[in-house]
Amino acid sequence: MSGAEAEVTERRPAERDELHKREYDLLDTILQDMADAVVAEECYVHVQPRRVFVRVHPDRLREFIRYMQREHDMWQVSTLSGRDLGDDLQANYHFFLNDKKIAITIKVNVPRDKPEYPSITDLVPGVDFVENEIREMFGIVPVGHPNPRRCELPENWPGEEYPLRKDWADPRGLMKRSKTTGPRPKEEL
Amino acid sequence: MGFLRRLVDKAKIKSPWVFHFNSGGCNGCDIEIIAALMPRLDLERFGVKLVGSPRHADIMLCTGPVTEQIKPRLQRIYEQMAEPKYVVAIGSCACSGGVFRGAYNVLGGVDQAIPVTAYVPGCPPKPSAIMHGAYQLLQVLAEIMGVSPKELAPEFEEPPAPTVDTTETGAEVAQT
Amino acid sequence: MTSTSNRTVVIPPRVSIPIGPQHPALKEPAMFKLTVEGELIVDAEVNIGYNHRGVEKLAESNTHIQNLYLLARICGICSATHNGNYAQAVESAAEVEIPERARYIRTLIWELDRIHSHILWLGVAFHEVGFDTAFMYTWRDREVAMDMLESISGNRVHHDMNTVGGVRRDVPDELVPKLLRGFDKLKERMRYYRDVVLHEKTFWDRVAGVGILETDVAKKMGAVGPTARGSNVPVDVRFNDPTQAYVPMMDTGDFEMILNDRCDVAGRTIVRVEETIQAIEMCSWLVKNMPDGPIRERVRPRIQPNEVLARHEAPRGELIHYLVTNGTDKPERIKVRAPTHANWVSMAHTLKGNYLADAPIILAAIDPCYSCTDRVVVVDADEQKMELVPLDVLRVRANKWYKENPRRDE
Repeated sequence: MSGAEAEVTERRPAERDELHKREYDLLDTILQDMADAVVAEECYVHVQPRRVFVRVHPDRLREFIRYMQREHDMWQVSTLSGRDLGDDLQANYHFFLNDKKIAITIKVNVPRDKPEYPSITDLVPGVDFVENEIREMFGIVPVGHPNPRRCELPENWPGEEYPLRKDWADPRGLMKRSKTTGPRPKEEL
Repeated sequence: MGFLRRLVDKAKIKSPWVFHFNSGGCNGCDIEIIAALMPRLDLERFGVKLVGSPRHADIMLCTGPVTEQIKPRLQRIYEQMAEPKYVVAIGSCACSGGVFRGAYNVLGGVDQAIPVTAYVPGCPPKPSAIMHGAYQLLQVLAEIMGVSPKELAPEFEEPPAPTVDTTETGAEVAQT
Repeated sequence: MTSTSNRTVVIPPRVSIPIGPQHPALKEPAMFKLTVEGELIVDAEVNIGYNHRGVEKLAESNTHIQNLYLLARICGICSATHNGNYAQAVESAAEVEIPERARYIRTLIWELDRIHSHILWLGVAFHEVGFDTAFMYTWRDREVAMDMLESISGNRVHHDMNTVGGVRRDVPDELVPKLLRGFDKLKERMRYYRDVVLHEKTFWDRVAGVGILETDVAKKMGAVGPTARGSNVPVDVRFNDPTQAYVPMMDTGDFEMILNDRCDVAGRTIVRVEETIQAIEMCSWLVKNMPDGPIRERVRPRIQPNEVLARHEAPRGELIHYLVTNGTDKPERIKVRAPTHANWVSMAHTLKGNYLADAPIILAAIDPCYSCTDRVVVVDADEQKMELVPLDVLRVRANKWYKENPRRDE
């Protein structure tokens, strides 16, 4: 049951109480300043302290990153993780705001048949490696990356295989060779 | 000529030179191998020397579950060693793949790539376990080569078992 | 810095690339490709991937408890950090509060892990500059920390102390005096090593002024851990985003983030040595103030759908686990970002402009946690050839070069 359904969802928004005041202030500022760039229903403050999640349209990503760097002094980049949501693929950028001490995650959804979005390596040099990694593992292409190359998979890996997608089963039979069960495709979960 | 051959064989047994190779592991077994050469459990007093080149080595200590990228390099290094050569697979990952068995990039143990003489299981094996494994290997080799085992015995005593309360002994050593 | 104004693009001859005596005809075997002009490094390219074991995919077919053991074996040196951080992530996803005593024990293991990892690094740094005596001394003293870890958890490496809901083993009261004695001894030895680092000319000349990483570059490149703190960048998850027993520890106000503004390898060394001394003090505090109580809490195996971001300060930097659960007992997606991965980008930057003889200590200075295939490719831009050099040969060459060209500045 991945992704959001009617009752079951992964979002655990927090109450607007004293413990989450600073995070809600940040979220309200973002929703106000960049109202059309974000998808407001999927932005929330998590129950865990110091965590904020926002979702941004792919074509407004670069503008949003520049806004955060300018207004909120966002320079500490943590990583980029990808997810397979079924119909879409998602790229999550994780940053940390050092003076406000809040970790913010910026999500970008791309359609499965055309998984491209603009790369932010020139704005944030620290994501150089992880954008290559997400291209290899999921097939999400950050367009405009200065140095696309093979970074983690072996050199003789076939082209269109993206291991971390949910519907991927090893075509080279390496799993069978080791005689243990590997990840099962999505239908069996 | 027989005497020279026996001398060379004895040198191989009494002073084996080892080469260490990590085929994609977590480095846990590697630091235990290096810890076996450190002052607490000193393997160098037995003549074991860690060399940097496979061409100088008698024994290769191999750790890590073999990943796809490493496999051709591992095979090349094995080919570069001079005969007679022996391979010791150290750690559960090198024996059978360990916790990584079944991953798409892992072949599952060093014996999927090169022939292995001895297996030392553990995650990671303590330095004294590595030394015990090496000693067993050398005993077997001594039988194969015809070097008498009783010549082997006086040099290989089991070290005293380390006690938990080592702070005092450590403090004495620190006075030096 | 270089003699040419624009970078020379090296196109090796197509038929056979003369890669050194050990690996004939292997395509791109290297992890680091250094382009040199004479003895000066003008460009560095970093290639990683030899250690790729597909852990994230494997973790999706294991239960959460099995994943604790799998993730601990991502790295042998900092295994307690992955183990504890994943346990922390699952507990946040399940929204359970673990008992106080379990938090203190978990933090104690984390800090002991930091001590042994930093002493290990110090020994390796001494080895990289050719100071093997100190290498042996430091590793002998590290055995004191390993004995303490073994008496608490049963294993020297891969302690596996955590479970979802707490820790698996308790620290019995009989062990406390031995731990405190061990901490005193370690502190005395670390003060001695601090003197060696600061006042021993043979070591200091090799690390001062080498591998400079400016503050703003470190910020942009996402450097973490002592690499960043040695360049005066205030990133430390224990102080910025505390969890577990760091919360009461920060409330006492006795501990401060250790920063150094030297921006070179010497700065990172000093940060690590000071951090070890601080970690010993933290461990003493934890052992003395440990509350009584249970050590684990029962958590049902099926975790509710949730997404959490668990962060922790490993010895090498900030470790992140991004976990998405889906209502079953297996994770939906687990993303692990080990700290060394973030430091590679800044590493390529620090190598430029330095002599080739400094490459071993600069490579060691970020405290890399990579598989030690230890192969460095040296590309000679003038002569258009590539040479494959094992790292220990490079180290021997570096030491010989420094003996012939001693540095007299500072």
